[in-house]
Amino acid sequence: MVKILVVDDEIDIADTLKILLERRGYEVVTANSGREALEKVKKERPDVILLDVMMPDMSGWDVCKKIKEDASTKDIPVIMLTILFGEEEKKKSFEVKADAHIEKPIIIDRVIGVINWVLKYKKKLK
Amino acid sequence: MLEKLIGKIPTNYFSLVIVGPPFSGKREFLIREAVDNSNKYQILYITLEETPKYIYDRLNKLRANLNNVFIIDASPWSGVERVDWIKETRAKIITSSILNLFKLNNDIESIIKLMKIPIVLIIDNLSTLFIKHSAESVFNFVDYLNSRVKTNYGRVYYSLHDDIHEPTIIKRVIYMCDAHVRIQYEETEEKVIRRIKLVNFRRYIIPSSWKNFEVTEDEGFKII
Repeated sequence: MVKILVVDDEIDIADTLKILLERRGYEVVTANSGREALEKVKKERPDVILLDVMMPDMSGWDVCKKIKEDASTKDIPVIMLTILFGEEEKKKSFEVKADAHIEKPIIIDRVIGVINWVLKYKKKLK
Repeated sequence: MLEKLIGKIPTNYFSLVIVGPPFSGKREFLIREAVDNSNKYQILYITLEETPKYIYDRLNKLRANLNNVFIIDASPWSGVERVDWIKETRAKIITSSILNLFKLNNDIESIIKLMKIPIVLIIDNLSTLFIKHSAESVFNFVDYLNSRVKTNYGRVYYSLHDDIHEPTIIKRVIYMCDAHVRIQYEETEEKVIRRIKLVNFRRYIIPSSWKNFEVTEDEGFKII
C-alpha cells in the first residue's frame, strides 16, 4: 500500500486530506509542522509527501529543500500544496526540487492524479 | 472531438497542445481525435508514457480504423513489454526510444515517408521527455515537428501535464503551438467535474467556452 505523509499546520486540513486519501486506499500519516515532517520522513519512509507551503516554524519550501538535500530522502517525491497563487510561487517550488506544485483549494482527484503520475512515471524515468 | 469543441476547424495544418493535470483526460481527448480522424487520415500516435498495448486497445475499443494507424512505442516500457500481441494487430507498431531524441526524430521521419500526407501526428506526452532530456532539447524537438507542419505534414497534437513543470516550460510550449486547449477540474457543491476549453488558435478568432466532459470505458471522451 502506498504510504503518504501529509504535512499541514492546519490540523483540520491535514485530517480532511487523511480521510479523503484513506478512502481511496492510501495509508496516510500526518505531521503538523516542518520539524515534525522532517522527523516523520525518516521514521515513516513515506512513498510520497504532500507538503503545505505556509507553515509557521519552517516554510514548506525549506522542508522540501532539506528533504532533497539528504541522500537518504531525496528520491521521495514531494508535492507542494499552497494557497499562494502565482508564477513566482510555482517557480520557487521547482527551485527547491519539488516534484509538483498544486494550488489550493484541494481537489482530491487532481491531487491523486499527480500522486499516481509521480509514482508511475517520474520514479521510473529518474 | 475538436470540431465539437470549437466548431469548424479552420485549417488542416496546425500544431495544438492540450494542457491539464495528470490523469484528467488529455489522453482520452487525443485518442478520440485519432478515432474521429482515422477514416479520413492516417494517424501516427507516438506514445511516450502509456504502453502501446494500452493505446492500441483503446483505439480498437473505440472503433478506430486501425488500418490507418501507426504507433511508435517510445514509452518508458518500450522494449520491456512482451510484443507477441503485435503480430495480431492491424495497426503498425514500431519500437523507438524515449532515451534517444535523435532516433525518435528519425523514426518519425521514416514512418511519415510511408504515410499519405496530410497526417494526424499525436505526441502523448511531452512531460516524460522533459524528465529525460534538457528543456532546450525538448523545445528543439517540438520546434522541428512544428516546422514540418508548415511543410504539409498535417496536424500535430501534443499533450503536456499541468502541476509538474515549471511555469516557464508550459508557457513556452504553448507559445510554440498554434492552438492551446486546456483541461481543468472544477469543484461544484455536489461533485467534481472536468471541463475543457480552446484557449487560443493563432491567426483565427474562435469563440470558445468551458465545456464539461466525461470519460467512459465504452465511449471514451465525451462532452456533456
